Amino acid sequence: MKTVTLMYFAQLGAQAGCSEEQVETGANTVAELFLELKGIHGWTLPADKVRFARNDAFCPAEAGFSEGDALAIMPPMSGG
Amino acid sequence: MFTLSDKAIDHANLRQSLERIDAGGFCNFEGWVRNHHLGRGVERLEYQAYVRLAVKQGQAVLDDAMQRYDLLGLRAEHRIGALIPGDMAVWVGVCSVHRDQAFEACRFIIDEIKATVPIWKHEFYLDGSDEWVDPTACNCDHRLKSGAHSH
Repeated sequence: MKTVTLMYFAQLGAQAGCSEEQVETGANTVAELFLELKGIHGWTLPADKVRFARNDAFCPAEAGFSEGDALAIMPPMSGG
Repeated sequence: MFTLSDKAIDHANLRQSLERIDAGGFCNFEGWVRNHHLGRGVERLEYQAYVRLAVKQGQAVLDDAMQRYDLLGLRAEHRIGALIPGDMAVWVGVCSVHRDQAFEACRFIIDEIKATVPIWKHEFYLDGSDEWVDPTACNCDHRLKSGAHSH
């Protein structure tokens, strides 16, 4: 099990009711972690639309992570 | 340089920073807050950003444009925080020796900012509802099909 800090943005943060939290997880990849949290937070966005970042850098869905990492789960960008 | 601002974009200052006597053209795009979206009246909006990554990714877009096009200078700034219709949401400016590179680079930069920089638009409508805008909800690629509609 690893403890990581998670950041949620836009509708993911609104649905979760928080923009940041620490979680203990047995997931091996950020995609696994997303699916683990999807049911808990009631996220409606499908996994293929989500982007991830690890320690302030984009990472692929199959990326692993380490104890203490800061992970971001992001919906499609809508700036501009 | 790519910047985020929680205050009104100072477009005159941004433009001035790109003035140079060896440039033959300057091209600029300004994104403005509309008072309507897909048939609904917009009262206001809020931009949220993942600031550390947005600044890094915005700069990566500009660095990419500098590699792809023959430019002399470029700047871009995006608003965060609360905006109302009529406010400027994003500013992009490029200068080059000839106009073609400036036009093309300007289009490239705004399209890449919209698609890849972690900024999100929360729209509040006149009917009291609100929504986080999802440009992928209509399944169209706005980098290829411009003009049909926009988000």
